[in-house]
Amino acid sequence: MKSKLIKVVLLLFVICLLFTGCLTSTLGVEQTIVIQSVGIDFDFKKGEYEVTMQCFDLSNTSAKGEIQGGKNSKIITAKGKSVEQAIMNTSKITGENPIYSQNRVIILGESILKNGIDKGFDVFVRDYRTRSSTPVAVARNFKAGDIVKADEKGLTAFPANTLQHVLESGEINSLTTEVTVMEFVNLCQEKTSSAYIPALSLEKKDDGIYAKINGMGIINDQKLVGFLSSDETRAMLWVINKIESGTILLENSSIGIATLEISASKTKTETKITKDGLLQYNIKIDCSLDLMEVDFRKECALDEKEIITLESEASNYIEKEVEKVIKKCLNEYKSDPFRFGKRLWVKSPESYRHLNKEWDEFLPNIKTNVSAEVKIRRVGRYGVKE
Amino acid sequence: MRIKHILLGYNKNKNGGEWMFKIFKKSFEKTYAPVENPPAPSASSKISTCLSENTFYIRTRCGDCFDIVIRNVDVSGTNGFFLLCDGMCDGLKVNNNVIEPILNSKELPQEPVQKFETIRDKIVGEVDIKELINVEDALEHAMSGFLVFFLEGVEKALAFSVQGFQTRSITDPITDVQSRGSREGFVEHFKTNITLIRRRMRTTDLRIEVQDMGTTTKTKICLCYLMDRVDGEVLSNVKSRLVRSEYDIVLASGNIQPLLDTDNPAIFSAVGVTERPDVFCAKIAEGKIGILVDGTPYAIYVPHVFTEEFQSFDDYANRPYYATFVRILKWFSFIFSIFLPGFYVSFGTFHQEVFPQDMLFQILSAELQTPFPIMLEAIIIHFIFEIMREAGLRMPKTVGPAVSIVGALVIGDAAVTAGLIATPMLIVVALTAVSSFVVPSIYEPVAILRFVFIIIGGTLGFYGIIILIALIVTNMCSVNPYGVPYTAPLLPLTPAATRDIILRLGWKHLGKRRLETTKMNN
Amino acid sequence: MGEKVKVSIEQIFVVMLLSRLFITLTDIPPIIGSMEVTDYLFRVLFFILLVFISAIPVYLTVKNDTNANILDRCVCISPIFGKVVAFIYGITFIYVIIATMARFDMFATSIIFPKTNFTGFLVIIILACMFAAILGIESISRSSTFIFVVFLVSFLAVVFSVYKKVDFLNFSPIFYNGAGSTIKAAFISMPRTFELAAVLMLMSKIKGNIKKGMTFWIIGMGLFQTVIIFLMVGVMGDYMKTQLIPAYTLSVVAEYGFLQRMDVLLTSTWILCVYIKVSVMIYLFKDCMKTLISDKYDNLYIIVSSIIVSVITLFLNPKAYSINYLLNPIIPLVLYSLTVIAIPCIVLISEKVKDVKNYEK
Repeated sequence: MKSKLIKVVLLLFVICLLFTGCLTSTLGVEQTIVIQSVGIDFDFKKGEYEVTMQCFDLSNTSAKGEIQGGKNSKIITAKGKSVEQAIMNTSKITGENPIYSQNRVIILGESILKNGIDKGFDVFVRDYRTRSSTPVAVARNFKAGDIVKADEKGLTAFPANTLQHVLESGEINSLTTEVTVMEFVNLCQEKTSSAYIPALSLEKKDDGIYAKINGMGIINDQKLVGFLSSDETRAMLWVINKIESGTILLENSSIGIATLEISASKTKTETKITKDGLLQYNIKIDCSLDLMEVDFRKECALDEKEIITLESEASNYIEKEVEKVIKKCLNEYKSDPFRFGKRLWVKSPESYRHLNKEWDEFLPNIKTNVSAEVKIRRVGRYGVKE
Repeated sequence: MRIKHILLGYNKNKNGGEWMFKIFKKSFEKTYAPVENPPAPSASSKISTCLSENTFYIRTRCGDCFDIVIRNVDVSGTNGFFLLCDGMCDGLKVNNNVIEPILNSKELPQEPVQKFETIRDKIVGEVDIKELINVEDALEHAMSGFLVFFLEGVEKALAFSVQGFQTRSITDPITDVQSRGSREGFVEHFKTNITLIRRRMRTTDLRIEVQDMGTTTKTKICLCYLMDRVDGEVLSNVKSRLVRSEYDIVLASGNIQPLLDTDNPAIFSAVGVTERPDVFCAKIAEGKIGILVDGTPYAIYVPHVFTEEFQSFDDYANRPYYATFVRILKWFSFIFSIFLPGFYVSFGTFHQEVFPQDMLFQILSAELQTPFPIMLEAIIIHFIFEIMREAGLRMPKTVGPAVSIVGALVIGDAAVTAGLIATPMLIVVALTAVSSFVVPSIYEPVAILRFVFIIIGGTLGFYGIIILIALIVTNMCSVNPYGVPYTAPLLPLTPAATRDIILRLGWKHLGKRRLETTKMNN
Repeated sequence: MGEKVKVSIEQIFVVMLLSRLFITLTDIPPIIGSMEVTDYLFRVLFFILLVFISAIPVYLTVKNDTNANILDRCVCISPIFGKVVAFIYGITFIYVIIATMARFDMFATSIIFPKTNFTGFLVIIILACMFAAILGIESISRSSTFIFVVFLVSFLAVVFSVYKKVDFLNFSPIFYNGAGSTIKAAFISMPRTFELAAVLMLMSKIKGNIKKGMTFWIIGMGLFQTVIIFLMVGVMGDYMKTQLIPAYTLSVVAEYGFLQRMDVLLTSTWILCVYIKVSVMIYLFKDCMKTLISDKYDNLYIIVSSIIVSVITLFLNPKAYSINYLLNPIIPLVLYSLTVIAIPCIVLISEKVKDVKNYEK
């Protein structure tokens, strides 16, 4: 009796499963297209989005997985009234289901950002298939589609890898920093802060077209307000404590042109409300540099005085650069990518409560006090003269 | 009408039965007339003082059996006969140690009972003697290789232990291979096995109890345990299970394994199997009960827990760091052999993001060329592997190389070049197959579960696999063979016992406290 | 089955911890009033305090090494009262199962398994939990230790890969808009802790110091929640407000060298928490039915409850706004007040009044 009951119950379960249509409708792996990078532009004339995607090209392979000549990636473009529709429209051409999980970079065209970040970017936050750790970038002076197509001649196996490495090159040259979807949206969500986004441009060479880092875009109130140059970006990274490595070129130093490599850097920003009721930020930069190159001379070893002079020159250089970029952002762009507003909020919520509604207008009144303490740790193999 | 009925076998017979086939039935019955059943053993099959009655009983019970031999003799004026099974006795022992001394002895009393007792106590001294009072017992002993002696006028018989049937000599164990263990494995004859155990455990605490199982085969079953370490409840449990069995035929230890296994439906067996006497002795030294079955070299022991599958004799002969490394290797091999195909299928079908980019490219390009979806491919190739494994196990050795070459060619290169199977799938199969032989004792459940995981991975993805893993672990946790949790000492955690599970600590730690499996409860 | 089984205190509280953590991991950050992200972290503190306070009746009611659970004691007071209490507890456990499956459904359809009809998978999970419940509390608690180890490994993997990304500037000032919203959120979160009712039901099967175990459990729960929410806030900041389930986003962001995009492996451990929770609740429902109807049948109640829950899950076809039903705090508050506060108080008072001492079987 018991076993009969169990059999009946199991039958009921099976019927339940059949009614639910439990059988998956997931398309097989043969009908998927793996997206590696996405570029989105907005065509103002037609009022539609143009999506350019770089995907795996599996047409030149055998069952053994050997690549029999040719590229491993291909470019697909499609258009639609919304970004998601445009991506789905690619299936009209390919007949395949796009999957985002391997997406390495999202490139937004200037057209999108000037139109307002809320149009065109929502899909990457809302859609469950996109990932929050994907880096984002903006195409400067070029279309996003052109950036995605860079290195189309197939000189590298997966050009999207190169794009990703270029965006991660801030670890080497401190001319950019990787901004993921999560960080980007976090900055956009903050009431007073402005977001920053790495900018990519194209460089034509004899053997192909390559993407390169070209500063940083500043976004305020969900719109692109301007770009920073490479040096300005580095200075900005100093303020927000995202410098990892890179070089400083002192062109007018006492020993000629000196190239110093940043080995370590730490920035502390202190929020202060002065007695006069003014808002001041004390930015203290602690930097360790290594001397990599100077103009060659007979006595290669430096003496202590020269090193101290070099340190003070480097320190001045850094302070100047940082003040310049702060002034540019606060005054010219009326933007706060340094999160000064957030710091005020954390330090003094009551002051923030008064100021946050007119923060953009208040920005030029902010005082900053930048001090850079530089130490030259290594001078190379030549050593130091006694 | 009638012809049609004839052709159709139509039943016209009022008595019932198909008359069409009656002719065939009759001839069938003539040729294959069932043999009349032999008379059942009577309740009183006691040995009679009259020899002819005993002879008649034996002949009636055994029929015209070629190998049951009755040799009539005259023992100093008294009639008697020897009962033996041809081929089971050692001819030299029979003649030199039993028959000649009996027949050639001159100082035997005339009175049959006294004669009988003299023969028993004085004449035959070099072999073991048993006294029997039942003809059924006598037959049983004769079929076990004893020489049974009946004397006119005596209600007893003597069984002389003169077994000399051919047995396999002690050789290397085939299944349980250890690099530092002994080269002796159990054989089919249980007495030889008992000597192998006794030689290793020269203690008075070792108890060996023999009983018969199977109403037809009357196979000898030996229970071995150490008196001071075994749990009384477990022992009585085992004994009662063996006693209440209604087996007709017991030919291998695998036949009685279900008797001793857990009552709840379980995936893994809670009975351990070994072919090695050293492993067997180690297990009974832990307080377990070992069972030897006559006619099979595979001994079993209870209770058996899951973590013992990963322990081997070599672990205690090697240095602790190497033994630990091998243990961890075994655990990883188990995980690979059971989960790798399922994981690969689920990741390839549902969760492609897990693969690194280059690996994904290789997998996709390979899978694109094949006609089957990943799940089906995995099932096919694993099925082919199982066919090859089974064929390799059963085929004659002369055909071996040919089959190996075909298998390697077919599955190896040809299938991939023809585009039937993708190369990554082959790598998965190869790794799975090799890993599954690192722990061969649990190959059966692993082989089946592998298929289940492939199907679940291909239909429900990684989340289905995880649910199945949880179910399997819960099932394992619900099994308590003989009161011992099957997943002990990991679940529930007995911290002191974990020194010999994944790690094999040095003897300083292992020798600290003796832990018995039967005492690892909640 | 396994009526005389005694499970150790550690195992039971691992079960409770896992089942409560599932709610934390799939929690939708309450955008109640004007709560800021750091207030979400302090909500944990209030939550722990409220749980401790509401658990006082439970603390007073539980007895160590006893053979009678709350239902047996109610039956000793009055058979009718026992049946009423069994009914209330039964309804509570069924509600918990349905709420858990609905929460899991929301999590899965929003985040994972893009194209599969997920309702079928829910039925399969209920089927698996049914089998686990049939095997008994001993098996569930033992397997929960294994699941806890797996969960801990994935939890630590997330922690170690994400802690470097914590930016203290992502935290907001504490109680910027007052503590009212935070306390309200804690009040909404507290009545989801039905594990206290489960402790009352299971106390006859636990061996060890239950009160000590409960304290450790509540503190452990608080610690886990604190760490998870600290990482969520520190890594994501205001991005958290845009995410339906921020804990999932945290697992997406967790990367360590070449180990990237491992969120499938990490979130699968959360499904194991669902498995444990639903199995235990089905098992406890069976105990309620044994008191309410008859204690002849064990597995029949388990099978019937699984069918009921499966049918309700099938009909509760998830729509985008069904999340609102899930977040409705009234039903769990009522059931929690009854099962964790009111009934234990009534039992304590009645036992003192009636001087019932011998309720052991």
